[in-house]
Amino acid sequence: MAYATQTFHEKAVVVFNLESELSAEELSSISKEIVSICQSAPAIEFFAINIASRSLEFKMLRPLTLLGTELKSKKKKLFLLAESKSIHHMIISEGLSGVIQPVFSLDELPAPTGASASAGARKTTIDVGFINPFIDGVIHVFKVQGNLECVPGKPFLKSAEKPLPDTDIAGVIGISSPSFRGTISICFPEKTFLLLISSMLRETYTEITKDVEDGAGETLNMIFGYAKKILNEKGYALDKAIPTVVRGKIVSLNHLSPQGTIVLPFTVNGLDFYMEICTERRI
Amino acid sequence: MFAADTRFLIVDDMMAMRRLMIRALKELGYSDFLEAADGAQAWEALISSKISVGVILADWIMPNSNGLDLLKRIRSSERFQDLPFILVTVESNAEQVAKAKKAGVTGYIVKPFDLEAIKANLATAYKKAAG
Repeated sequence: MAYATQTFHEKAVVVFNLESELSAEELSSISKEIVSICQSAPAIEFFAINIASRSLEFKMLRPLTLLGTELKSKKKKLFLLAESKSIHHMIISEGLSGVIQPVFSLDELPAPTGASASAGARKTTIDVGFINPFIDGVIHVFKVQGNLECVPGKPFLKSAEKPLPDTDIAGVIGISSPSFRGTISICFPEKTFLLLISSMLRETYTEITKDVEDGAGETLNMIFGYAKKILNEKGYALDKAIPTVVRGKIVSLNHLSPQGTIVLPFTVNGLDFYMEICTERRI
Repeated sequence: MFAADTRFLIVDDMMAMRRLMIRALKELGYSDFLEAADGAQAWEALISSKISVGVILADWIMPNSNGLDLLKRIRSSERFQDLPFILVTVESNAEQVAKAKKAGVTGYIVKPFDLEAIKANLATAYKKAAG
């Protein structure tokens, strides 16, 4: 079986480019190659099977899952490069994306986070394919609804070592799909929220009043709507959701998940705000 | 285009979004607005309004009675069945739009929206209403 080693996000990825549909024999051959590579080059963590525009038989999910599970137990990751959205949908709806991650391109491979890097810490990676639509959504919503230019910062995992700006108001949405659930939130210091709401409504607000406070929820709702459309085209099957608003001088939102909470920081006109995304797989 | 004295019924559970829609409509020269926070409140406002409502702009996803339920209720009512009804929603996939069309929606605005989206939908709704 021919394969090529490519580098993405400074990580080597071994890519198996198929010349025909994935068969049980071919997958067996790939599995043997991977075992051999794991022995000769233990630092390689990422493996990808590139089926390009070919279809994937449902019966291949089981052997793929076995391979993905074995790699996961060795702290390695299996990706399936597939152009077909229905293949992504099939893997996600079967709840298998934790062991076989479908991607449209290698650019979607998770970048190393650098967070939780202390010895023995459980390594968590950021799935850029999942968070990028939210980043784009923030930029789009602020631009269209408020004529504001947002600048995204580098996403990171929430931790006590990385303090976040004080939050005065936050919008929160519970997200749900057949294979995972979680929460997303958008957290604003008062000044940032007043800038946003004043720009959206084209009148100056100097305090957060009752008639504008749900703007935090609605802003998040629009961002979620934007991201949901893109993610559902990839097969995530996210449901509709109704946002809520949390007020308080310092709001600390606790998202309970073993997979950690991803923070997406932004600035707008020099003022900070951030989103938090937290998901966990359904058992 | 609808006359400047047209009464609009704005339906959204988020007060800030109602403010946003009213601000946009004011920029287009309108000044007569009724507000409701869900489909049930909107229906009450509609049947009790002494001045006829000319256009409804409603969110889709709301607690209690949502925008689609309101649309279906209006389309099945003899009195209001021809009332221009524009959904203003974050739901933008083709399946949802098709569902709204099937229920008889007049226009469809995806949030976030700009003034042009409202203007274009009102123009289309007016043409449909004018027959």
